[in-house]
Amino acid sequence: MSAVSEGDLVAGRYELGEVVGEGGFAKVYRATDTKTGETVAVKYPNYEGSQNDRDIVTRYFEKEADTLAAVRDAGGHPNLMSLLAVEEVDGTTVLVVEFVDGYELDSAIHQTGPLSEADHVRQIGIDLCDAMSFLHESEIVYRDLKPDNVVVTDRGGSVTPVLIDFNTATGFDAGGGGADETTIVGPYKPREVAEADRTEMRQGPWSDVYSVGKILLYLLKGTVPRKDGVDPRDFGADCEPYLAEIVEKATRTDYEDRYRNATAMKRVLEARDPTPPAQAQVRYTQEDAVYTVYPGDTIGRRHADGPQSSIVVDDPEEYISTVQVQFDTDEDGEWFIRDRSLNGTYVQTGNGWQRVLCPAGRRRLEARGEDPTDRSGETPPEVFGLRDGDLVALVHPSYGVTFEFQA
Amino acid sequence: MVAITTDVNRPYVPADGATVTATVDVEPGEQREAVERHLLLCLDASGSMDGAKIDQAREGASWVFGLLEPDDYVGIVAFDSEASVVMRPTRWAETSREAAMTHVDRLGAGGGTDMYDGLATARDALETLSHRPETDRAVRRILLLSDGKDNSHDPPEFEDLATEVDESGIRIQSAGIGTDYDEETIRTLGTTARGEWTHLTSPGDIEAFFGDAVERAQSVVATDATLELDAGPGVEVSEVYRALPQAQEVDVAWEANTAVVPLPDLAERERQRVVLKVRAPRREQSGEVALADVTLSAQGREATDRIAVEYTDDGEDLAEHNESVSLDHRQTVVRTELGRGNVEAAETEVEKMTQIHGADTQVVEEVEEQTRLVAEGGREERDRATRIVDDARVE
Repeated sequence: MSAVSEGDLVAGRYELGEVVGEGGFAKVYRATDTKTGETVAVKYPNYEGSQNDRDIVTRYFEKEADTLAAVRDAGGHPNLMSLLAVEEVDGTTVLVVEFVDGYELDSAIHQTGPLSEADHVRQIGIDLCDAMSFLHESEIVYRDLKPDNVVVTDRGGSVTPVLIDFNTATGFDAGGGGADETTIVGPYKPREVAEADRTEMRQGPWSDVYSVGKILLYLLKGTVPRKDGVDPRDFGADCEPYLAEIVEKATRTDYEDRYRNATAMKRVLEARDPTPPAQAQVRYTQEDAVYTVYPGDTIGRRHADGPQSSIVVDDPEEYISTVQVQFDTDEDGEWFIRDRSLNGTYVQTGNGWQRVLCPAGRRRLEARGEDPTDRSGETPPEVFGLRDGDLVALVHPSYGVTFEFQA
Repeated sequence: MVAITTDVNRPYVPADGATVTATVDVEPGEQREAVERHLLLCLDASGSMDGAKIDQAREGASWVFGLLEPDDYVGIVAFDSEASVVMRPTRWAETSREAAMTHVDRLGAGGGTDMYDGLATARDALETLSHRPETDRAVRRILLLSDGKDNSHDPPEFEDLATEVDESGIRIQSAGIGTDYDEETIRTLGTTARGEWTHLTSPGDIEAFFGDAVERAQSVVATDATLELDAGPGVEVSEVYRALPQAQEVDVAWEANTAVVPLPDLAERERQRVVLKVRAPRREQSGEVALADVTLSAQGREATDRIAVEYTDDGEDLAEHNESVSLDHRQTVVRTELGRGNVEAAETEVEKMTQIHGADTQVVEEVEEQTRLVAEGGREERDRATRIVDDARVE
């Protein structure tokens, strides 16, 4: 890549301003979109200024581009930096992204000191959980949530955290810790991420739950230990018990002891009650295995290794999606499933099998000339209520992967 | 398992002999069982600590309490014109956060600085646990914080005291805060007692200093680690430094042909590196020769390797140069000098490195930059210069 500097016009459109950030993988310039007059940020792979090898920089930079594109394709999220364009400049891929004007969370806390208002801490926690849920729904585990990856900015008059770095985010099917993975350590990483090369523990949504918990402690204290299961009160934080208990539970060593996913953690923060939300059970009828499910939990196909759905199913034929269905509850605590698959799901209620299919799956089936309708020829719903005893069949009732829902 | 790997810059030497550079990398391996930590906070409570510094020292103690496990012991010694035991080493399961905080809340600042008495008292306090058989396997640490100069003791006296502390199985993590502490004393304590020395710029750094030291103590795999170099006849070893975790010159104890290099406690995922020079003597016969057998031992764990070269008259072989080994040694020398504030000595070294390896070699560029930063900067830059980034570890 040829050297670029302030004043350059990139891709015939973006006029570079000063460097606003530089890390191990990317160098970021403030820029003006000459077409719209808007301030944007232009991200270059940081070959010169990084300690990392060129191919590692390229790999992580591309990973970030893929993740940002996936976020954009899923409709974007107010707590995630948005991708505006991907440009090729002299053979180098550069990203044009939203310019998030604000302070990185660590410098913000350095300036203000720890937050004394539990509600501010709680709101940032809710926003971060919401962002994580959104990523998880797109089958992405963020894996690197830490204060310097979060910028606090003003959106519509309220302080909003926005995630700005995505180079360690990984797909559910990307394999967690291959031998070529760089070790990423630090107090915000749960064991299954920091020690990915030597643990059987799976990475998943619960890995990001851990990091959100540590961020909340950071907001309360301004420092974070590596230790797991941290109760802010043990570190001298003056903190409401519900919040302390949520942080403690979110940061447990064993992922099964944490909130299962960011949706569940968001709910307990909203409710100011650390008790995990309602749970139900599902029985995998062909295997006679019983699983506990929480709102936000998913069923999906197993991969070689790495982050996966909450409940994984062996499916050599690969008809089942990596995230096939998600369980959730509505405001009244009633359970429902949301289909997230490409081939659809069936629910057997009192009067037969009802197909459930997400819009993306429907479009895919239509594109392939396959039937995307349900038994009455209607467009299948994306969500469907569940009652005790209902059967949930992945792909098709005859496919042989059926779960009995037990409220 | 613990493992060591040696490397030399010149694998082939001529019959006349040559001085080669060697590195010894120590991979600590995994922890087999949880460790019991014996932690003693040794705090400067002299008049100059009054205000934010003593407040943050209290916060630091409070932070440490949050990190403790039931089987850990923690104690506090404060020193001003004299030393006092604020909290005798207490098993965490046998006290409570509230009880411990009442000791901490009593900490005040005033008077002179008798750091020597403070350190000796801290050592004695930890030694009260020596009768317990478990103490042999415990990770024992003094975490010392000071912002001033001892009123009546000079660095050599501290070196003697730190040697005693080290010999009793206790490591010192020393931190100086602000701009008035005696750097040589702080450096000597950390280096001699196989810990690290650290500069803290502002009171806000105190909590992280204590927290980091306490958490790292928890990942210790084995204490009492040494590298034994069994040198062959006519072989001379010189310029021995620890490169990782911190660039420090090592005082090597020789007995006959055996040199012992003391190492910091082995901690999980913290690779250590020792760099040294070895004089290969004249030898008529060609072929491979071990210049030194290297044995790492730490609490019954052992690993061996050897520093070997091949004598030859083959010009092509003799030209082989493993530059990264030379660079590792030279940059450690430069960084150690920078830690001492010896900019001139560092500049001389950097100049030599530039001539041999070229100005655009990454390591040369790095040490040149570090030297510039130290020349222009202060205590923080001197501390930072001694930390070599281990590429295998990304935070």
